[in-house]
Amino acid sequence: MDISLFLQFLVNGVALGSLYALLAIGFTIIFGVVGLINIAHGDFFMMAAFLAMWGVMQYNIPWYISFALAAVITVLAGLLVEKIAYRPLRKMKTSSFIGAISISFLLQNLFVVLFTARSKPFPHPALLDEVLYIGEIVLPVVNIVIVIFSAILFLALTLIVTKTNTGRAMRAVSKDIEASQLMGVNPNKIISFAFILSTSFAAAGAFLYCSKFPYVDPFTGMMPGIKAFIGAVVGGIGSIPGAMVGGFTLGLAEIMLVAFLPTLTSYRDIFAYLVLILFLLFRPGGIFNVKVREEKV
Amino acid sequence: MSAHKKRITLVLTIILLVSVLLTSCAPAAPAAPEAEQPAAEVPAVEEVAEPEAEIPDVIKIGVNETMTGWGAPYGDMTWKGIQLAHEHKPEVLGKPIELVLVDNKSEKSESAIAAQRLVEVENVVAVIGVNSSSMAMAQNEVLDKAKIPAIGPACTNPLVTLDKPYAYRAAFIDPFQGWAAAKFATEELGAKTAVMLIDITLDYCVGLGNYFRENFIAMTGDDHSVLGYFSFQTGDRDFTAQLTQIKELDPDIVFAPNEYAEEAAILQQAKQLGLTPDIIFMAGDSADVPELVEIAGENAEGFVYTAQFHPDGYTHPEAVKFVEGFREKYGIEPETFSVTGYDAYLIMIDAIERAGSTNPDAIKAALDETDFVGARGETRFDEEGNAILGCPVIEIKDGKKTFRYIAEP
Repeated sequence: MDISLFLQFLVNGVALGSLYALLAIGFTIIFGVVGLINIAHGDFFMMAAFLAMWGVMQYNIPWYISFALAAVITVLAGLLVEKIAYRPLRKMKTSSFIGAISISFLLQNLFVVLFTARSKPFPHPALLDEVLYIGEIVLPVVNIVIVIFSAILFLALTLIVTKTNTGRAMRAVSKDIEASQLMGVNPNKIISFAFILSTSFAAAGAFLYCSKFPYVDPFTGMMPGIKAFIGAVVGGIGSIPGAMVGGFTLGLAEIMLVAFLPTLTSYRDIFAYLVLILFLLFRPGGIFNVKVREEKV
Repeated sequence: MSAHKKRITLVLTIILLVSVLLTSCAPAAPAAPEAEQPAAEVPAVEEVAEPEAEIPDVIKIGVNETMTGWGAPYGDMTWKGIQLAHEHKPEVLGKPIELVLVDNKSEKSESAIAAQRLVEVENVVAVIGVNSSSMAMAQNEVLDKAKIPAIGPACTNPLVTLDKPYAYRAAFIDPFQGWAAAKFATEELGAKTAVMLIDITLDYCVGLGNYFRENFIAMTGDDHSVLGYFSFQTGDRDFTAQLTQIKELDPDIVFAPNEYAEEAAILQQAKQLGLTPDIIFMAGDSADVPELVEIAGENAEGFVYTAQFHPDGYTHPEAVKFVEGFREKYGIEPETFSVTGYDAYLIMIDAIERAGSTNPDAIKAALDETDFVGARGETRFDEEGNAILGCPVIEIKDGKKTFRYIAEP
């Protein structure tokens, strides 16, 4: 493989890795703060993309307004789901997880019923269809935009989590919810904040992902959701830097694997699952070696 | 749990158990939400079990289609074609025809269940379905055992009718489609080398790919004319690895008979990586849905595929009647899936008329002797029940489907 081909794959891998990282952050924040694996996260991702598409296709709203509206609606939906489905089950970990699975099915099938399962084209700014040709290297502009945008979001998130009071409160709640209450933190507010962050990142990831692969259907969120979850676990579930690193590594590895071994393209999903199993067996704490929370009985 | 709560829990559990028992013992209700009854509201039908039974008051024809799931666009177009045919011919043997639509959700297991429901609950005389070969195979396993005549619309994998005397189809089969595709590629496009890019999760894609490959090698006379075989799974969105490899191999054409969503992504990435327009991408009839060009946009320029119909390729009276009727009723252009649904219905009704009864064996005998002029011209069946028809090739030019070529058997 020559250098230009390698660079092409590298850029593609970095872009996909950033997308998985954006989604993985959502998983990890919620797990950190609530102790819940929000399997429905991929479906909020899908919901944001779908609503954005619908706004443009059905109501002819310009894309930037449709994206913004879709993000807002998705965040509100996340808060609503948290309030009705997750909060009552907060004390019971297994029931919360089953609740998340139910919400996932609900969202998928709701969208199938409302919009049919047909893949629909995803409207996006024409700039993202452009391709730069640098010598032999083919660089789709959308990859560059993804990388830059994700970097900005990661930076913003790190600042929020380390520098602001709410961010600090969030970290406190993930360490020990009762002790943080003694410190004057309102856990419900913080958990809502965690959901806002998580769904916003899902929405951002959705817009970027569907601009790169421009079609959306009610099951679009499934595969990226699972891969992002694996990324979060690989990095260390509950750790935000872990999610960034884990999601990114998984995306990059997926692309580089098929780049070097093109006969294995059909196995790219299996590869992700194998990685998950290996990590769970030998390093369940992930790359950042997070201490797995003990269930308080 | 307090005693009070325990009692309430107990009562609720008993109610739950009893209702579960009651609903599981009750006869299964017919498919209400999915079934669109165009005319008859009264479903009263006599059981047609003995050979010399009288003709029922309403002739029920079952339709098993992929109305939801990934196959929804295909199922929807097929159903539109069937409904138009029903309008053109709403009666047979002097009795009204009732269409019973069942949705198999684009899943093989659901397709078998749907077939069972049509036979056991709806007591249909015949079944039209499924446009997708995987689902059609599952359906015909059930129907052939029950000896109910079935006619497939667009499904092209040979296994749908192989060794099943009661299964027919209003379409050619993939060995022929593969041959037609290879003929077009070698004669019209002058292609000497090809590469395959196949979705290995779907029977249709793998099967058609293989038939193309056999024929292409035979027609070019070169054992090494197929330079490579690349694969992926349904749902994959990134094909840059495969396409980069294909670019290195630099074939004349890429044969990629996949479903429209993945195909659109393939075309997009092929354009980005600079494979098109020099390398021609070719697919099979599963590409014949409007969504493909909607998603792929300009990236589909120069894309070709074998199909089963194009209005410009068929100008005889029955075709014109179909095309104009379809345009008027739906406001959109007819294509592969609508025409096969249309012809499948008419062929089955024609057979029932000639059989003079709703007896399955009589209908089967009549089907064997079919010589019917449908929207695609004169239609006859071969020994396995597959229609012998020409195969048009469509090219996307300026964002529109244009009729380019037809391969006659």
